[in-house]
Amino acid sequence: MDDNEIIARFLARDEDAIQAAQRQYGAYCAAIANGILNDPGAAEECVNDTWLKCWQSIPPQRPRSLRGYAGRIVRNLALSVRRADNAQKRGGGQVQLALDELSEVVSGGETPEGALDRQAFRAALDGFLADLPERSRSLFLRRYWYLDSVEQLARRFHMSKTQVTTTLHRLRVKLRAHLEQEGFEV
Amino acid sequence: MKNHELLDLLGEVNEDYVLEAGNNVVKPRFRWKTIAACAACAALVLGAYPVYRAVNPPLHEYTVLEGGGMTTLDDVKAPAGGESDPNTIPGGAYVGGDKGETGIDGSEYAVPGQDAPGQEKAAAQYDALMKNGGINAAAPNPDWYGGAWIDNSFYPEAKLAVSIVNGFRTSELEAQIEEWCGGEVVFQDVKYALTYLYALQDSVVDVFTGGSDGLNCGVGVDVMANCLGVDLYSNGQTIPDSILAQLAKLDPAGDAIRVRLFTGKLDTLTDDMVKGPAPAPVDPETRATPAVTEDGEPLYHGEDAPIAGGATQSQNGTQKCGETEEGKPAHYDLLPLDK
Repeated sequence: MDDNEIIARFLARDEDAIQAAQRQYGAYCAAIANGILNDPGAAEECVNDTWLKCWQSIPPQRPRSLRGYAGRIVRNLALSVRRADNAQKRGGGQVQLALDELSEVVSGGETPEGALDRQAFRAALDGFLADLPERSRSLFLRRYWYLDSVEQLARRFHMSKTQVTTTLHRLRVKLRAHLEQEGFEV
Repeated sequence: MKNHELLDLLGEVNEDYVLEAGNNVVKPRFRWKTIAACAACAALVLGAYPVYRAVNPPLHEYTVLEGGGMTTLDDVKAPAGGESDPNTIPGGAYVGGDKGETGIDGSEYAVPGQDAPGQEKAAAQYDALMKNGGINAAAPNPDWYGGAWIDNSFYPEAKLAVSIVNGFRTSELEAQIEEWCGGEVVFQDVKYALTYLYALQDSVVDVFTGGSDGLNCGVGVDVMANCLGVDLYSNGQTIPDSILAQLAKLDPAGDAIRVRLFTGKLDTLTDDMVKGPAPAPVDPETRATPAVTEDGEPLYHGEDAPIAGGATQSQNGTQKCGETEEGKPAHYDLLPLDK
């Protein structure tokens, strides 16, 4: 069953859509959640909540790609769970490391309510990613979207861990420069 | 902005990029830079060697021998090792002769203190070999033929030694040669055919004809050693690398040409024009060393005895200081003390 068929079932309020989505993207979503939470049980809960969110949001939403849509939901859910729980209690994981790394990009100061144009900021991020070579873009997103560990990235991209770390550092420096150039006080 | 805000915002980036990062299977990078660098290094090494060899060609080895020098043949100077030996006969044979006769390297052909062995039979065998085997100076020698010589190490009758080039020696050939010679001969395995060595000799002569300033040379085939002997007389000079390089090119294996450098000077000949007249003989009486008495004092016998002030005086005391017996000024060994 392809994406369109599953989405059509969601739109038709067919409960089989959830099972079909689970079959199709369950493992994918579980991997994202587990990468953030480092807890398979909690990750499974996040995945279940993801299908619930999909059920609630489709319609009115009509996602172009169910994979991307579900992936974003599960990521946000996992990050929320992560924030709600104590990081140490969850056994660390890649979130804290990724946050530490992203501290290089941002100042850490409070952003006044409504001061950040999220739409424009997303566009700036998209612009930054669009300018990157595909390999660098994938590396960046695997680290800060999928929250893969450096070891996983080294295996996936056939690089040494040092090369991964160095490349990510350069990308963060580049991101900060790009955001500043776009007029954002990060 | 807080880092977790950025992390959240990164979650909202273009879905296509996220899917791309989630889907793509990353293939190992073709490390063309590394491969290109390795290829460049390999090319450099492979290319540099011929260049290095062109700039620094391999040089032929040589042996330095002290002395040597020149000899005079019929009032003409010639290198000692380069003269034509009257005992050498065509075909590369060498007929030894007198008791204690020595070769170019100083080795004696006959056992010291023993009469030279008889050579008539071996010489006749040699002639038969030349005649029956079709070996002569006019025609090319057979490929198997490395030379022949009369081996004086056998006593009382020397034997004919025949060299056969490696790979040609068979019992049939041996039987054929002995049939040609009319009797038993001694066989020796060699690497080079005589024809090859003669051709090499021509090439080597060309090398030296091309220019070897300050060097005199003698070139000849040494049949017994199965090589071409090149004896150089340097007059104190070394062999130029250009000459050695050409010899190395002619003899890549390094065993077909034997190069010897004799360092003896050319003016060590008995040549009055070069050396000048011989010094006048010295009266032994005037050169006598003073004897020594029992108490260690020198005892003079007619020679000049030293006197105070550095002059010498005859022991009989009749001679004045500053004069010799012939009334000539005395010879001062030291300056006078009063000056």
